[in-house]
Amino acid sequence: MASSSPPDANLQPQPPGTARVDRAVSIVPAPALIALAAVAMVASLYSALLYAPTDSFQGNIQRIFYIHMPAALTMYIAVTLLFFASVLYLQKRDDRWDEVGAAAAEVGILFGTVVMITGPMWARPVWGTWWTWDAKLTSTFILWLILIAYLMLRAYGGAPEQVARFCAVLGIIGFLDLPIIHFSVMWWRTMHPQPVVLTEGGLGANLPGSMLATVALGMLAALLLFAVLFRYRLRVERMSRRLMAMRRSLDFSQEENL
Amino acid sequence: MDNFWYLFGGLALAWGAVFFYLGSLARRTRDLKQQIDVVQAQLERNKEA
Repeated sequence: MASSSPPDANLQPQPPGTARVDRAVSIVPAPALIALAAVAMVASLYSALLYAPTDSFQGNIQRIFYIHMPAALTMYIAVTLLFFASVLYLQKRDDRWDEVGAAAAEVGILFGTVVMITGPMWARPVWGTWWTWDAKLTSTFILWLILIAYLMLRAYGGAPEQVARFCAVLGIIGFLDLPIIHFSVMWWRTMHPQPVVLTEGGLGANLPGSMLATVALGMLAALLLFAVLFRYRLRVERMSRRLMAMRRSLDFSQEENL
Repeated sequence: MDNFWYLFGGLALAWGAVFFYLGSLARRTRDLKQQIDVVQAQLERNKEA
């Protein structure tokens, strides 16, 4: 016979504005955010294919850069968000930070996948190979695998509190790979080119204006898409936890009735 | 257009991945909603009993 109180804390609506993340994702209403993201994505595609000049050396395939690079930077942002959510979860043991971490990791995988798709499609005609195990590509692949491991741990890990703790540690480990990815082209000899946007000379210092504008538009589109997907994924995570809490509550009430 | 198929393939796969993920989120939301409704109804029945 169960003697504890029913585990229905998650069934209660959360007080508005209690979590900073709740406020952050609610600044722009969902339909407006989706509309903005859709317009930015179409404008970015138009700019990448028709507005930006053709690269004199690589030809049209260079246009894939306008998706590849914003996707990579957005993956950095997702993993940074995962890092802060993981640290805050370990510090405060507040489930809302675990929810944020789960959402950031999964959306981060999507952007990582876009990077892993567009990279080889660009490399094949320019380098003559789909893939090479150089430092930049390998460290990016490792981060992608860490994020996959994060999701697998979350799906099959066992006790929720323990899984949340292990996932937070894995999220922090994933973040440690970010500087290795970014600086690998300076630390080691790689086939991957040096950064052209986040450079020491300033943001996109060596890019022509039209290319820089297209990069900026691509970045805006990727960030808005990230905001839409992150918000959506966070909602799914909260629904999933609500369902788990309801099931526990149902088990409890059935035990009470017996 | 040189290297057209690589560019087209890259863009199609990248956008395809995004739409596939959006679809997966929509499917998960729908399934969760259905399950929440079912459990909610069971909870209410238990409360009445």
